[in-house]
Amino acid sequence: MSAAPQVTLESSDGEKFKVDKEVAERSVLIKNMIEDVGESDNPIPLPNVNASVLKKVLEYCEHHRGDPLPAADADPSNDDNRKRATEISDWDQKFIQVDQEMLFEIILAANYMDIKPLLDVGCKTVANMIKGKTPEEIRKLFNIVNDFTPEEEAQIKKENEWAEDR
Amino acid sequence: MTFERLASQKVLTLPELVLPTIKDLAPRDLHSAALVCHTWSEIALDYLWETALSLAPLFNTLAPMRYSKEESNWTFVTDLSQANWPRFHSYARRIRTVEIYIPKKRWSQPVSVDSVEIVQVSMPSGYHFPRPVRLLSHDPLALGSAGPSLHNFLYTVSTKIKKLYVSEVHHISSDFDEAPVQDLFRRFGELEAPSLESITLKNPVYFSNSPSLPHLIERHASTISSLELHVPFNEQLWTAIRDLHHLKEFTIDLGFACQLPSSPRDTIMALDDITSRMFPKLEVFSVDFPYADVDTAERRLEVFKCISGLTQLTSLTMRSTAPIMPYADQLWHVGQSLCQLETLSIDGGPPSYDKRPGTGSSLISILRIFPRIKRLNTCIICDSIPDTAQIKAHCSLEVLDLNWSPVPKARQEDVAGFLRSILPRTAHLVYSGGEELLRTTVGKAVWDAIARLTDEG
Repeated sequence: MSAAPQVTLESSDGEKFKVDKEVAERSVLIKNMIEDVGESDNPIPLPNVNASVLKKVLEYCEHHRGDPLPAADADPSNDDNRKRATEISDWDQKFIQVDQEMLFEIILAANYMDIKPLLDVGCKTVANMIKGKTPEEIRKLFNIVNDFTPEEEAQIKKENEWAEDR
Repeated sequence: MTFERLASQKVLTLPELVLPTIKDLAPRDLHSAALVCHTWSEIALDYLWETALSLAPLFNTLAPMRYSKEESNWTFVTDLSQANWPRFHSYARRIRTVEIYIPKKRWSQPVSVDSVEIVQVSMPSGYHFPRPVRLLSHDPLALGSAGPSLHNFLYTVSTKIKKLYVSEVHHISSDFDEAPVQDLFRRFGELEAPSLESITLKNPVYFSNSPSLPHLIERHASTISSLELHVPFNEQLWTAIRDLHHLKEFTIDLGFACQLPSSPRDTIMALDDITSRMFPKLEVFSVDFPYADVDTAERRLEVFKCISGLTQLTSLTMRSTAPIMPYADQLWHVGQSLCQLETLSIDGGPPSYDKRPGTGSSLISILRIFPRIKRLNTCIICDSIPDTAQIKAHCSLEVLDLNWSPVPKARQEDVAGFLRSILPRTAHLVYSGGEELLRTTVGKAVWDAIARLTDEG
């Protein structure tokens, strides 16, 4: 095996994961922590991520270890950037085929650990679940409480009906 | 687990996570999202109303409107209700971009001039029309066919626009009516206060000898920081751009700029004027040369000398129908002067005619000449592997984009080995362009494989 530098991560439930530093540093949170504290043998605690989720997140980081970092900000007037935004690669699509609760756990972890490409994959997957559904179906799917009065709902519906034809 | 909230409920009630989830949805899905709950509604409506194609959806919040097929516009059916102004305002404030293209659907058709006047007259104090910051048009025929829609829209909403973007994607015939475009420029040229910060015009057929574009640029000279022009320049336009004292980003196609029979210029003299007298402090410069200017050694050296005057550059793009990369070693002067340069793009597009792009040796030259660049975008041919001296230690490249490079005749393992020997370990090879053409789909697959081999080694 190569002698690539490694770090240890500790999940909220105390499980330890030894991984290549390069893999762990796909997470901006961890990258910054290592920069601030310097390299040490002490495990890096991740109190918001449990072992089963962390395992999954690290699987993603391992697969994408060589990817270039995402461009800082893309010009929204460029059509290509918009088109690219809705695509998910084959590997990522298979990776993210998990039960709904795990999907949201991954999104929370990606947000907390600051792994933007993983957050994107998670959010796009949820977006694909929303496509074509009625508001009631969306609420039911995700257990969201309807906090509109019937009057408010009717008004928003009327003011935005043009979107159905655009 | 029992008292903890489920992850799904956390995610879907945190605005910072709802936002990336729904931002790319189509309008009708955004409409559904806007009806889910208050948190979702605020975010979805921001995106749904971000870009306006017509004033009709907005005016419809004040009173019902009717669409007339004969007149191709919308008019109010009843009097405006005073009670609806807060609703109008809550949508008007979300509009950030006006996009003009040929209206195909009913709701992107214009509203009548009468209706605009009715709204203007009855608007209570404290309310206002939308104040978009961007005006976009991607379609060559759109500005012409937009006619009254453009006027209704612009005469009421143009005062805060910072970014003007007009591009064409198709060929336009030379008898194309450019009056609507000139009207648009006149409107911006007459605004009371300068507001435009960024102007992009990619319509080489337009703007022949009209004074409207020079006037527009003069009017906004104190605010313009980014200018991209692929248009023929007349004398007035050359004079107008001289006053852009805050210009930081400049893109010019010298082939178009210098071609007008009424205002012909030698492109190298024009380039010298731009780099040494007009904008020596540019930070981002992108330039297209006509074929003849980089086709002889003397002309090329003149071009490179001019560019080396731009000592503040962080990003440089050079394109020509005659490739520049084969002469990379002649860029030595430029490399000496441009100490801040981070992004370099040379021949970053399809190779032209029968001219061959640079080679592995030109790539080595570039990395020696510009040891500080982080991103390089170019097109090379890799049929044989040059002898390499180790230059890794002196180079800080992070991304090498070889878009449009042809499939190498050398073995993939050898190309990967070569790239590994010249690139720092942290650099990544990508192949970003030209996927839409069959020819380069093959190129992309091969270069992706080479990129993997390079990373694995």
